[in-house]
Amino acid sequence: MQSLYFVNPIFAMIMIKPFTPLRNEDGSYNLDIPENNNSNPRATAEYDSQWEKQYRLNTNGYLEYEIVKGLTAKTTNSIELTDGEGVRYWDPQANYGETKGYLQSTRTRYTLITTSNTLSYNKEFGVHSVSAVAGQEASKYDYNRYTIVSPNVDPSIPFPNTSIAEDDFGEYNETAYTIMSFFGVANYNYDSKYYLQASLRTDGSSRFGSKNRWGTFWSVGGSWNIHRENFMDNVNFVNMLKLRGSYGISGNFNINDYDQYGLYQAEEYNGNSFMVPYQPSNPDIGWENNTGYNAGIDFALFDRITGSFDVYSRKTLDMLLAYPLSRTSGFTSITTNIGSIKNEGVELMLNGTIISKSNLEWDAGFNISHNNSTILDLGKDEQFVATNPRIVHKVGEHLYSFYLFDYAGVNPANGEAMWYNEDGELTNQYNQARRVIAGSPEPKLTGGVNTKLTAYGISLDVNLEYKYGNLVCLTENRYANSDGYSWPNNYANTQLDYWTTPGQIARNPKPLANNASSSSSSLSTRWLYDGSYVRIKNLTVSYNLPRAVVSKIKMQNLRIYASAVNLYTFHKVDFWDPERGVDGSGNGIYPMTKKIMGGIEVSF
Amino acid sequence: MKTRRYILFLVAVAVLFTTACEDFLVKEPRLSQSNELTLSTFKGLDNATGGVYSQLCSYGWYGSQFPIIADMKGGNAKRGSVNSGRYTDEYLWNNTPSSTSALWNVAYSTIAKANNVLEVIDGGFTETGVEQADLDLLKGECLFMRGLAYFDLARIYCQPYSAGTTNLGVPVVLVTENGYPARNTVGETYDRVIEDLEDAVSLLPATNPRGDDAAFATKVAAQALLAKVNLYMENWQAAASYATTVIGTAGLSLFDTDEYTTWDNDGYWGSGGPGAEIIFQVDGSEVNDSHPWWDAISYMMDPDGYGDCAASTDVINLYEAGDVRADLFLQPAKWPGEYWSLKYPGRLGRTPHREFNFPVLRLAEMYLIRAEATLNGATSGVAALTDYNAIRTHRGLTAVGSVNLGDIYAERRRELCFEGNELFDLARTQRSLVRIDYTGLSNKDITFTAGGTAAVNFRWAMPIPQAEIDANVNCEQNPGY
Repeated sequence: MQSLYFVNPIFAMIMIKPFTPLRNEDGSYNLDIPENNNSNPRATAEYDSQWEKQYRLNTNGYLEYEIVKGLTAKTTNSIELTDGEGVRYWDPQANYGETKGYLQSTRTRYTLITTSNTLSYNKEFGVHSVSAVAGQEASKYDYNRYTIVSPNVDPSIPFPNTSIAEDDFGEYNETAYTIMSFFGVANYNYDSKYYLQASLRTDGSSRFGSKNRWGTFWSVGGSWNIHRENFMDNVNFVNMLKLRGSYGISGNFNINDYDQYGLYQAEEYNGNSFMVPYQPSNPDIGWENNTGYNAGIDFALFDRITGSFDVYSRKTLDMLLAYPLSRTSGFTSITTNIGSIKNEGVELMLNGTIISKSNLEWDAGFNISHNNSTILDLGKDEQFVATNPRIVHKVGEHLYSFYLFDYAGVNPANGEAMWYNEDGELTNQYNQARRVIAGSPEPKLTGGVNTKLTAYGISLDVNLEYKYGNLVCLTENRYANSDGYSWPNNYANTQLDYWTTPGQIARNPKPLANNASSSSSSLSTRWLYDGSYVRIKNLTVSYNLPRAVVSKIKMQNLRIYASAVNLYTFHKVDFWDPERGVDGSGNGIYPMTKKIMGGIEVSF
Repeated sequence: MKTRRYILFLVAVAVLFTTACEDFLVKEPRLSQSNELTLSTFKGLDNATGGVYSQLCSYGWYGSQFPIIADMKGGNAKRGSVNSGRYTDEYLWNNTPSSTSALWNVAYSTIAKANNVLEVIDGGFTETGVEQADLDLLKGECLFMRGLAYFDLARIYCQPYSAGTTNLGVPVVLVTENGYPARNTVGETYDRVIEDLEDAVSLLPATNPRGDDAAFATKVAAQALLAKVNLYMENWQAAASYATTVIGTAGLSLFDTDEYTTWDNDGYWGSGGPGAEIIFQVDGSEVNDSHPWWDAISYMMDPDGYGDCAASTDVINLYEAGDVRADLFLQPAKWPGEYWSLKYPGRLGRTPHREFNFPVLRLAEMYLIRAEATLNGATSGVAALTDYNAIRTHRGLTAVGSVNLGDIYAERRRELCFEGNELFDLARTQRSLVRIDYTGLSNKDITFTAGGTAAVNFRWAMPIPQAEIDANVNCEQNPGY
């Protein structure tokens, strides 16, 4: 429900005027709210329902046999079963103009059957240790869903039973895939100092056509426990020091189950079931390949500091992307292997004990990561606009770049909205605005900070999360900052700074009822913001009663605590929350839930 | 020995697995059907041809946007006190490539569906027991629908034919492929429409075996559409001739005054079943998969629904006393001075009003087409005044003694308002839009500068959707956007 949907309370908050009454004089909810399509989210919350219950059952059995010493055959077989039942219900007390309820009842089932069969070998010769596994694995996934739609149920008995049988209709949906793998892994280590690993696997997926069904992947890796070397014996401040490295190629088959097939499906029109094209054929679609290396170092020093540092570079080839088609093909996009992209980055993690005394302890740590994506190739294109029209994929740029019309603010002379045109000149015509790459939703840095201070049984624990250097496109702001275009709706306080007099430098253009300037267009740089933030993810204060007191009342431990989740976020956007998905876009996204709780933990 | 036996066993198991693998890794969808299977049997082709009609009732086409655009931009409709924020850009003539008509998608999807079937039939499809007449029907239906799709695309996204045949038309695509077609000219686009429809006339039977409710293509539907297309092309003689053929077709007659204000329980206009005036209509049942649901035209014209498409008093004031057509407006007490058309009253007992039947072609328009063509010099054997009075007398008015083109234009507006014509009628006759009852601040009147390609106001052609421009390097945007 996180979308631009009038019963989404987050969106309704933008739309409904503050003086629109919540209830009618007779106490019932007011559903005559034209600025929000006659939807009252308070009524929805009270009368409409939407839920799904899932019951999960996993069974897992294995059989193992040691053929000769060190050589073991093993078969593992499992079934995962999920049974779900769900309801969506629209009640007339929450839906304008309706006298009956509208009900969708669903029943879903997922099954995943897996068999894994391996032969493994372990051997130690003095300081040498060798192990190897060869095996085969196969999985079959099935999903189906039955739905009964009952358009006219009695609101006092909202079940399919009270609907007229002729009004009811049923729907059925299913999807399935299979995957099969053959693999081998070999490990060697010398005296717990030097480790080597190599693996080779081939995977086949039902999602790909016969030509490219199988993908072959491999990796090699090694690590060195430096602290176990003799020459380190006298280096006492080093508790642990380890170097790691790996190189390899892996695969990705994350597409819909039947994307390779050109399909027709049934469509009802005028009482007939006809056939209409459903998706374009792509028999050549195959595995996306990721190839790259990772090198890292882990360390522990002075009995106080632990940490790790990693660098990596990964190249993705034959990316699986939705590629937009000319609508003259009858379709809007095709899922296909296209282009390549590089991801490079570094990660650093450091934790330390700053003070360690019997009644005072202070630990602190942080982690910081930087990732940089670059599109290397997009087949025959230099760039293409993603299915989200705010985003372009362009060679040489990040995976996601904003592609928006270049808003230039308010003309102080007359209060009109302005844009830059292709020649970089100002224009009051939206139609002449240039469309520019306006930055990226990709953060330069992400990470977190944590600290814990304990003194005399009282402790303060804080976790921060941060993101730096990314842009977000908060398109929702166009509704409450429409400069008069959506005049019956609510307005944000940011609209108060509007142009009134020549020469005035105003934040918003001159408001006009039925504003025809497109100043609130959804594809505008006007809604771009710096999405950097620091969030207090968790803050906990707790008190552990002294052991002496606790034991007197026959307890093991007694802890009193108060804790806050997402307590506060420092950010720069004109919105309640700066966080968006990887493409920096989204509509009607619920803000992070803020939770404050307290409790007593007792153990006997 | 023992070890070797195990190894042999394992090899045998492995061989068994690998041979079974390929079968294990084939998972075909069971709820849909491959293109090859669909298009290789007559039954499949028949179903695929039926599917060509399915999006007529969709949001981008007759289910909502296409006719509402014509009335919103044409001055028949206005944005009144009841609105959900829809159709603002159309009312204000403020469309941009990212807020333009959705017809592009549905029309090209329809064309692709028709092309798929035509390619197989034209490729020499045969099946035992399938007669030539069976294949002719499918081919005729596909050609009719392709012609309609190109005609409607040209009306939305192009300057009118009368403003010059070398202006930008739309890409004329006759074979479905993932290509990058450039735009043809307006002349080439209309030539394709005429050729498809003329072929359809020769292939289609008088009645369509899929149903007798005018929801599927027939010979007379293709003839009626040809009358209209020729009118747009100012081929006055052809327009009059096709109109004459349609008017003379058995089973069609003008509504009388009672029928004109009656819808039956199934939402059909007229006294029962598909009315005698209806030549081709779109079914707007909610159970249709492409039904636009809350966006349905009937909900847009219902003040208890979204109600964005109210009637302007510019239209209301056109009716003389006694004109039964003036009864087809609702004036709710809650909104004094505001009107809504009653042409989409929903279906009996089913509220909210999401269901509709949309009249794409009806007989009254044929009389008006012939009258206009005759006034422009066509010879049809029937005086323009006779046709004009035929409409008047069926609408509760008395016959008059003379008629001119201005009268015909006004009569089209009185008769065909809220059926998706006014914008296109203004454009093809190169008249400017003049609005009196208008709630916007700018773009009240929109001039049509007649006479030269360069001087034509760019706003009369809507922008091509940005997504097409982005995906198709050869597709040129209309000038001005």
